[in-house]
Amino acid sequence: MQKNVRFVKTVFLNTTLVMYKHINAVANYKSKTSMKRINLKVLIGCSALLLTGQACTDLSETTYDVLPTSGTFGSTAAQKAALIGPLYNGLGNYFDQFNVINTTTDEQIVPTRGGDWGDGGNWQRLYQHTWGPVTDNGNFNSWWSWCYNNITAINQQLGTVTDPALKAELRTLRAFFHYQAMDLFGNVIISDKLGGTSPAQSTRAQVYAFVEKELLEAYPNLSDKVGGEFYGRMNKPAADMMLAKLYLNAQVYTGTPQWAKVIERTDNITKSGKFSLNGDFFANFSLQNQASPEIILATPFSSTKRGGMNIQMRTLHYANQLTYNLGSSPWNGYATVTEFYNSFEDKDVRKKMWIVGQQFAADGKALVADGASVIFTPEIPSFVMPAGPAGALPGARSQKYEIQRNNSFNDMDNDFVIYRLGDVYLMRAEANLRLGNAGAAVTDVNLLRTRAAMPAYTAATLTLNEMLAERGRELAWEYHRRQDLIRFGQYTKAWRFKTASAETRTIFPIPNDQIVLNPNLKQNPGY
Amino acid sequence: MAYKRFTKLIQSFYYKLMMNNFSKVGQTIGGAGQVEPVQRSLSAQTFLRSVLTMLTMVLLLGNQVYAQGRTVTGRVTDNAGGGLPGVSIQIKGTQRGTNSDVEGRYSLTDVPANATLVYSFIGYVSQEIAVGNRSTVDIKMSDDTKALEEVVVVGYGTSKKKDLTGAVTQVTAKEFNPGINPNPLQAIQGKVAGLVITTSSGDPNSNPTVRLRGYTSLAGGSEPLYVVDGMIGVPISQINPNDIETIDVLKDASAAAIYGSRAANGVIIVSTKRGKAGQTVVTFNNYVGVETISRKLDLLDGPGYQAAVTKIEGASAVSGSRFPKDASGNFYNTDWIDQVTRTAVTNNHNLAISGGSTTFSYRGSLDYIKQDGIVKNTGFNRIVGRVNLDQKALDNRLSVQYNLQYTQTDQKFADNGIVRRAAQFLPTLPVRFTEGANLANNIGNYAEIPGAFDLFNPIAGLENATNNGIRNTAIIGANLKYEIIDGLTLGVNGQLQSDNTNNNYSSSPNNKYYAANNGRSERRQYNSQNRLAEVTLNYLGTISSKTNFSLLGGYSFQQFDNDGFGAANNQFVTNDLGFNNLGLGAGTLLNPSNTYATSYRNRANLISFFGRGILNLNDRYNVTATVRRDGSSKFGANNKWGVFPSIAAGWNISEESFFPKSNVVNFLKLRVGYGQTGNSEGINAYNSVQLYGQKGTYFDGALGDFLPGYGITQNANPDLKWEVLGQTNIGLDFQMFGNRFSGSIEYYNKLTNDVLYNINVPADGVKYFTNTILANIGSISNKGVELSFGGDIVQKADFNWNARIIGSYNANKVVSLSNDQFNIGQVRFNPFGGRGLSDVFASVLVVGRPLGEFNNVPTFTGQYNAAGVPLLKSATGDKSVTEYKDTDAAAGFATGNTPIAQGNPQPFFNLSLSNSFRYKNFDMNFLLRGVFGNTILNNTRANYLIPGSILQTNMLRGVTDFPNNYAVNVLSTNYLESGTFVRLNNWQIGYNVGVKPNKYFSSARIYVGGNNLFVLTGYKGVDPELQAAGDLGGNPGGGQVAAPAAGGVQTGYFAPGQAPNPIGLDNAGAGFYPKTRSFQLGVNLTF
Repeated sequence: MQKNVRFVKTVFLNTTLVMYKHINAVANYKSKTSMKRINLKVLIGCSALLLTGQACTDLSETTYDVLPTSGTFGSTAAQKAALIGPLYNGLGNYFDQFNVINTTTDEQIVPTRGGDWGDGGNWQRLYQHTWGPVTDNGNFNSWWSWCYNNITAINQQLGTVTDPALKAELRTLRAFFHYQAMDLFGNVIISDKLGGTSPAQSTRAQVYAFVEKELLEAYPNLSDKVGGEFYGRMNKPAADMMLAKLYLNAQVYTGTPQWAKVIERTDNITKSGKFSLNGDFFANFSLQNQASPEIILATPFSSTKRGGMNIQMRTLHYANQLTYNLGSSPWNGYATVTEFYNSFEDKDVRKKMWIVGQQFAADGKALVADGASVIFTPEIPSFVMPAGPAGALPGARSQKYEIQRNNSFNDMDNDFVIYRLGDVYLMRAEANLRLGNAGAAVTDVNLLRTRAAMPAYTAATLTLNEMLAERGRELAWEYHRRQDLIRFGQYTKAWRFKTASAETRTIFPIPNDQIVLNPNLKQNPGY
Repeated sequence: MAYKRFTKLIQSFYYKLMMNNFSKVGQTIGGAGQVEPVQRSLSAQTFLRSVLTMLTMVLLLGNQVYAQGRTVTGRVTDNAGGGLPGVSIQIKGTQRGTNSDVEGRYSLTDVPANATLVYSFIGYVSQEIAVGNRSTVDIKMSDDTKALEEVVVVGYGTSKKKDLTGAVTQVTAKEFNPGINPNPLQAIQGKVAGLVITTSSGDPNSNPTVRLRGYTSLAGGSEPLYVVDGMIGVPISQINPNDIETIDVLKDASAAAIYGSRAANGVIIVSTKRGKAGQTVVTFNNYVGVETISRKLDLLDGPGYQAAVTKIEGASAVSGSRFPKDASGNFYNTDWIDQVTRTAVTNNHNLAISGGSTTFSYRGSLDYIKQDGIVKNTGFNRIVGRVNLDQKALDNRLSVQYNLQYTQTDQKFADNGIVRRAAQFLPTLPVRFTEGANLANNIGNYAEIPGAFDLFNPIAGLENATNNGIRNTAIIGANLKYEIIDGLTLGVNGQLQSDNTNNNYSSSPNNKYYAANNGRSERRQYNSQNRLAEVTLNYLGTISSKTNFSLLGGYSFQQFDNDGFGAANNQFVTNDLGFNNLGLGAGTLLNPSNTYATSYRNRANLISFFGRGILNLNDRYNVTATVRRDGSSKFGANNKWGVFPSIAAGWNISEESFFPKSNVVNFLKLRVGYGQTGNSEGINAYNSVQLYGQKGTYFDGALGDFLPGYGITQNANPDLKWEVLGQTNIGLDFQMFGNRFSGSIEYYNKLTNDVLYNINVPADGVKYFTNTILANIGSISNKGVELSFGGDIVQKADFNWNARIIGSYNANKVVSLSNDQFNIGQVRFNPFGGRGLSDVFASVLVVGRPLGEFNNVPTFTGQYNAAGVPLLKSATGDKSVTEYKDTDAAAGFATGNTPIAQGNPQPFFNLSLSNSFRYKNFDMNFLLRGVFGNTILNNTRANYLIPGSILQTNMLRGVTDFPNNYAVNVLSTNYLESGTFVRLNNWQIGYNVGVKPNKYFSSARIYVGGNNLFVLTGYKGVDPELQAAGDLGGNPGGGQVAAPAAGGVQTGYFAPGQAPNPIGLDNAGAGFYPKTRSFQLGVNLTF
């Protein structure tokens, strides 16, 4: 590169020199001695020779603001940390992907409100399970890429990691994304190394086995530390939770139930003594929820340093800007389905997650918009609603995650909870219930019922249907619903504004973009 | 007598306008606010005035030096006997001379007895006449070989028009479009067949879109290469049109291939004016222009809005915060478009001095233009200084050209959202409430509807943000040629271009418009350095008087450096300091973010070897062959070097003995050429290598805070290379009726292969680590015919009418979207935007069809259902449906079904007709420009005709014609319209003031003129001339992503850099800047 600089300099110097000589020549032109002219010719000729002689044909690139991977970056500990840290950044997109996926369930609806949220029928197709592999390729490809971008990024670092604890942690994280891909798309790719040829497609059962193997192999080397430096990272309780989820749905994935293993894994968590139910249910979702002792795995968010937590923008009405004194007007989209809202009894503490009724400005004045009082009704009259208040107001909204007041940013500070202890009790209860241990099931569920100020279940009242309903109330909008509905055989049933869908809809289509790019991929049945 | 009175009248009017303008500036100074920019413009004007004064003094002195002696007078006429003005008459061997006046008359004093006079004029054969002892010399200038002997610039050299083998069109300064045209491109709009220049905006800071012979690329870059006086890659907007002598457009591959990997979009060579031997010429041009909005959206006014709301929502809806009353109980009525726009004034002063001797000549010019935008708070002013020096020495064997230019542009950028906000905001609201109960709805001193989505007082937007920039461009070049032996010339060309931009932004958060912005202030600096060094050897051999050849060989090295940085902050306690003291914001302390400071730097080298051979045989046959080998550091490791060859031949049929000698066709020439050119502007430095870059932030639990993370941000593509454009060109040039008419017809067939695109790939860890890769894939074809024909329709002594018609037809087709490695997938075009309309596209790229063709638009049946939903024709059967399902168009494409061709946004034909008339001292010219056969998707109309949403935004006047409950905006054929139009692009009427050449003036001309006087079109929107980019927008930098304004969540298929810019989409919803109509009054003075 120095050569290039020198070359340019030479060109300019020579040009200048020639010009200088030329001016001299003009000044002395009167003498017209042939000597001078020959000298000039020689000079110019030499310059030309110099130029071509030095003419470098070196086309290598010098980089200044980027780091080619062929360089040395990643060799120091701090650089290594900077490469491994953001592997968790992908986990942060869990919220982003699943708030859309959740609209395929009976607990969340994004109705068309006048002109708003039509979006080419995107939300309606999701809700009614009428999606198509080409039309909705954008959604599917986004979920698929989320999984495999992260897997590839992990694979890239994993090869160079020698510390067994870190290796185990990254394998656990990689297993998490495989588990998500398997859960969403069924027959997917097992990617555990770099290089090779176009990866092959594995069956859902094979991926299940791979995830289980990875987690079990990693487990002994995982840290059992909770919180602090391990906040939001993979440790033993997180791996237990993933295994429990895997076993809980084993029948769906492989055809063989694994209820006893669910109990084994959930016991690991409860017996670790590191977690306890938070007396205040909503403290799990507050702006400072990282302090909650109930959280097993969360992804940290910040309104300015790590944006993305914007559930309030998606659900609140435009005029709620004045309620919370927000910088911009929310988007008035997500609501809950009427029947789901009605599954909460009024005395249920958890029902406070829903915003219904008259809305007020921060100063206490009742809000009026488009000539109508801003009153949210749980009743949603139709999926496609007219413009104006008739379409803008229906639907209960969510404030499960505390809404950050006086926030001029669209993103909030609440961390998003992926796994928490409440779910652990419900999973163990369900496994026990299915194994016929109703007593143990009731004990676990009633821990949550008590907190919710609801009457306790008895062995007689805790049916499987009631189990699903209770999971709905406890875990609403925590993005477990699709998995739960599928496990309970309810996902393809008809519900409000949705007719029964084909059983094949329990697995999303392999994204069209991926099929085009990887000849090994076969489309899922039914698409 | 009448003429004189007329002249005086116009002069006095003109000066009044000038004076008004000056005094206006003075008044503003006396007032408060905006001190700095006004002072700058004042000082510039003062400066120009003092220069003028000095100049006049110099001229007066200069004229007194003239000696006394014999006087020769005479008249220069053209073939038809008409007086020929502007002919240079020089006493041979001296530097003394004069120019003929408007009637062709001239007078020369102190002419020696044995003198020879040299008469010269561009386009005419120069003549030398020995005066003898005559005192009157009348001569007739011959234009026999007019167009043919003209020289055009072909890159690293020139060629006589008659020897040309490629498709090259030259536009000279006198053919430029008059008008308010600070950008040279506007001056040649409609002048070159096949060069389509589209101005879709009235924003003075926007650049026209230029496409030569169709859409050839997606991500490869689509702008032509601009070469100015040997400097390659000049930002054309930084060149002053008044400095330009000629613009040569190299259209086909055989002409452009000498520029290799950058020439596929055509090459536009600009040559600036240079000093000529002879008398010192001083020109001063000045105009004052006014611009107004050419056409407004036909929006409801206050009473109209109330009436529409009453009809749609009932009388009871006319209440509440949308319908406040003033203290006297009256409703408000505000025209928001009027509130945010104005009649804008433009002022241009241009002063140039040129002259020199046979060995040294110079031209210096200074140009100042201040153009206000019709949207308040927008506009630009620019000063361009240029000095061109030419020195010849050593028996004329050595010649050196120096070109020095410096441009400073002060820009006030538009927030394109403002006009959209003005269209949406309710006409029943005032700008501010001053009293009463309404005061509660004053947010930050502006009337608002608190909590209403997407409704913002546009004046708040206008008054609470500053967005400006200063751009400085210096271009310094020296071009040396030395004839070593007869015929062999060594050339050395050294150029440096430095382009620096400083942009500033600041907004105040205490109003609804910018509440989400936190009072953000930014400063951003962008620098680029472009260095060029070239050596050429050229040999010119003459075999006989009719046969010659030339050989050119060269080496070129060019280096591009880009760097810049930006800093931002927010949460300022005061808004007084804005971007001038970023450290005072609390944002960096309270809400740290890694986007507060940014910087970048990159470099690319381009190394080239090139050669050209030309053979002109017996005045009949011409052969040109060129080759260029380009190597660029940007290209992938496996494809560092590319070779771009071309060959072309010309046959001068009219020289053949068998060709009938007649006056009907007196010249006929056939040209055929083929060549390959490259397109690589879409590749940025480092695009071919795998990179680590910033990958968001991650949470460090031990630290309890977020840290920046690194990760792979770009896939490697060692095969990355230029796009290859193969082009065949067949041209026919002809002259008729004794050269009175001339014309040419061109046919071309272009095929772009290895089209660049940002392809989706799986991050499989095998080859790919992120989701996209810039790769060469697919082909696009363009075939077309161009026509240019014109000449003097009337040739009389005192009346001349010259007209020229220029037309172009182009057929564009996507030939392939895949290669053995990749398939481009589904590329969706032309987003139909609006509330709740994310993810709706009107076009999908389909192999075998034109780029951007509308093919995904459901057919409207004309019916609405009871719920007010428009009924669409289903894809299968005749059943009406409310919604397009998966079974429809999109699925059709995937299964290879033939798509529905619903209209091509690319015009079938572009046509322009230019006319110029001269009657005695009057001249007039106008240019009609038309676009035919294109289809437009009128998204704007769709967005403003929704009765169900009338309370949410203002609507167009026709909103009540739709069912009251029609509320959901639906893409349908209802909004496809013909985009055919004819526009009076520009017109001018001038008068040459009958001044006898005297010691003050040699000529003076005053004129009135304007742009865009009328548009003939059936299009229902504001203007059918729309953005026509069609390429891929660059990655939006800066990391600031706006919230989706449409009330939807972005779920589009493509990451930034993949969605093509629309063609033929009228979407005011995305923000727009209205087009303008302008009027001009100006004067050209030559001293």
